[in-house]
Amino acid sequence: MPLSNSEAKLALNDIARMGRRSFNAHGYAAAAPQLMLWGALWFLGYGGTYFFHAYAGWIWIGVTIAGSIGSFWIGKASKPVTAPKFSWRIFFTWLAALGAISSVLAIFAPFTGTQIGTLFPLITGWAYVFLGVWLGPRFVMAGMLIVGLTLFGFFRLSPEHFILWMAFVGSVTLIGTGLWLRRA
Amino acid sequence: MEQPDAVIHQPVRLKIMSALKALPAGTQLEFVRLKALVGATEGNLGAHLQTLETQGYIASEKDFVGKKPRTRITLTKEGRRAFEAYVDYLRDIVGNI
Repeated sequence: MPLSNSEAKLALNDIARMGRRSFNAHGYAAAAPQLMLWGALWFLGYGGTYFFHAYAGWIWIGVTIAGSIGSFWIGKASKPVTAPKFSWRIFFTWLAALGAISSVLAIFAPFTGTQIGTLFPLITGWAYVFLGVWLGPRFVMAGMLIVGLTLFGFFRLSPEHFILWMAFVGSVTLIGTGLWLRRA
Repeated sequence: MEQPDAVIHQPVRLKIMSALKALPAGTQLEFVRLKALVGATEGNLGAHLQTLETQGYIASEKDFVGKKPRTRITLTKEGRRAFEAYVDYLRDIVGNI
């Protein structure tokens, strides 16, 4: 028997609702291990900076390399079975982001250590907010939490305590959010 | 299309197809995640997946992660086409009145 108008509308609404839930859940599941990885590395980066301040530059180079390799490996393991082997769009997106941040830093330098330590978490936090607008509200909440806690640390804490605070912000918010997204 | 595709039109199977269609082509969805999304029991979901697979709309892949068995489901090209035709059918009805 052919469907009525109201039955067809109902079915279309069900399809849209389920599609949105599935899309969000898929995004959350893909992001969860990345967040947990970067949360652990963030903790190591700021923790290492606090205890071995003279080697901060090397520590962050190591953290960035380890994070890039880890992210690439996680992304490769979770890609669709029919996806292309290497996406140049993703590569150039990272390159463009790196170029944008480097050029802004070149204009506004010099920075204090605390300002540098604040800038990247703020960029990360806002990136999650922007992502969340498209991929799901949990990213928005995670991003706002990172931005809020980072700004609190910058304006309310001394530079020494700020580094420890950021180690805490990284581990608790990113790892915690990763676990939260995984259960979505 | 005079009649809706009876295989897709069943409520649980419609949820399954909607959940799979929302993902990038070729993406595999784990059985446990699909079960949570659809809100069906394991046996019920398994039976509906079997119907969809027999029709050629989905493909499933079974393997082990450590000692735990894992089933992953993906929408086939045929399933994607059938689902799009089903949605067009619904849109025609809504648009025609």
